[in-house]
Amino acid sequence: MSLTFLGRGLVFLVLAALAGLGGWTYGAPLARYMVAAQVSTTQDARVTGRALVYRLEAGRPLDFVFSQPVDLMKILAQPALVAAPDGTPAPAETEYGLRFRIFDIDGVEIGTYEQHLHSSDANAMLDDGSYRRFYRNRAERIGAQDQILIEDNVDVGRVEVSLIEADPSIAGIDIRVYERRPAAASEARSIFLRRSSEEQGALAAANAFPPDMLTEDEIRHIAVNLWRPVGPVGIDGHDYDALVVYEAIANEEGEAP
Amino acid sequence: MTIAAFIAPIALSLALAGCARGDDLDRTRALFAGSAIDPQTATDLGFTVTRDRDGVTLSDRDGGCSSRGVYRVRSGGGSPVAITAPHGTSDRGTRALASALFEDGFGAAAAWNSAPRLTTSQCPGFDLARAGDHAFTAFALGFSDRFPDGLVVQLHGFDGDRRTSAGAADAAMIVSDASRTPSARILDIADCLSAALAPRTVLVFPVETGELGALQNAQAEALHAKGHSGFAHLELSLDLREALLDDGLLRAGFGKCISGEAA
Repeated sequence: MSLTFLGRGLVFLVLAALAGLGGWTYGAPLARYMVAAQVSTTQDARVTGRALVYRLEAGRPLDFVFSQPVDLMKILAQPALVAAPDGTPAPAETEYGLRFRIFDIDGVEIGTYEQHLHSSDANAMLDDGSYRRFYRNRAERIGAQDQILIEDNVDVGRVEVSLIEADPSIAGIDIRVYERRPAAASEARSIFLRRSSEEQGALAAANAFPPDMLTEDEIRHIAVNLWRPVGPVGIDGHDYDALVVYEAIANEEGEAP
Repeated sequence: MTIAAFIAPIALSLALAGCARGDDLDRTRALFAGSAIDPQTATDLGFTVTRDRDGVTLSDRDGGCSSRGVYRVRSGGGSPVAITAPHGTSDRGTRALASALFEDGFGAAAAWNSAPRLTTSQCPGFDLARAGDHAFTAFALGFSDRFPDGLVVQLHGFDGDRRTSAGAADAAMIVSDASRTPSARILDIADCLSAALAPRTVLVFPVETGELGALQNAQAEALHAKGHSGFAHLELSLDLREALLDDGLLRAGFGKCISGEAA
């Protein structure tokens, strides 16, 4: 059976209409995708994460109140480095000291700890000279991060963190304070299993076996050791300054982000 | 069964959905592109026009299940931000939050849905965020005509228990400009929100989570196709929505971030 001229014409019109409809529907999204794909492959560096930090400066301590009494807290600290007034870059090695005053839930001071830290910015730099961690709108560089764990056998309700000394090239110390996420033993398994396989793998990285081979005790141990951030007391811009630190990795053609 | 039996339900569905004809969409877009609402045009397009201390409110004259939406336009301008909630009732609290922010003085306009997103016993469901040929999209386009550097903000609500990654499940907010390459502007907004809502977690799509990026959002697609980059898709946890509704100071910080007043 062969089509008549009219039949062929009708088939052509139907196909043309379908092509036109497809172009109308998918043309603009496809064009945007192509542009986005092109941009993504030509960008110098790819942002992989953000973190909220609080700037600690001399004479301006920060207070962190925990959501419930804790016996263990984690503090992450990293110096913000500035060039000297004559333009000399901040040295690669810097030192600073922090003081931690801890209080119980009634506000009674339990103890004071001081920690003197040595920071290098070498490991904050990518191979191409750009920085793994950076501020989007500030010229300061970010030094290597330190982690401080404070454990006490008394229930702690609050910690006051202050900067007691710092090299001249340090504009301030950016800190984050964490408390352990409350988790009942009965919830431990669901807390762990609700996470994606990538997240389970990351959490179980210290274990010799993959996530699906963890025992109930190991799963419970992971779940009760998850952390969550604590914010400082007061109002942003008045009592403290909150900043966002970005993390990036260089693309193959990467340059400074 | 006749052809009419097929066509009638479709026509009814379209009418209830508020899917307007092309010329009506053009007129709706022009209506919102002007510096003041023309009451006669709004009435012709099926809206009821009322005035209050903040400006003009356009509501769906047909009421019931009709879904043209509700639009508020501030008299005398305001910051070039449209605060919208396309799922204002099903995403619990987002309509109230959009309204509260507008009444707090943020934004030049606000809008939300009038018909439910999900089908109820009275009304068929209709999703404004998926409706390209709709007054809600025409409103977004008209707003961008009026304010070429303006920002159309969509407030949504998410349930952390339904997220597939712990990062998204634990987040208070997920920010997106409906693209895979977040703009400097959306990062500025996200940074501001991170500080204003601290210590709650504000994530940026796709940098920190691969979920809820609004890549299929009809209003974002229309704005992007026009070349307008001012679109912000904000997914809020229920805890955050409730906190923002209860705490005027927190809401003010949120409003300043989306309106650019915090800088």
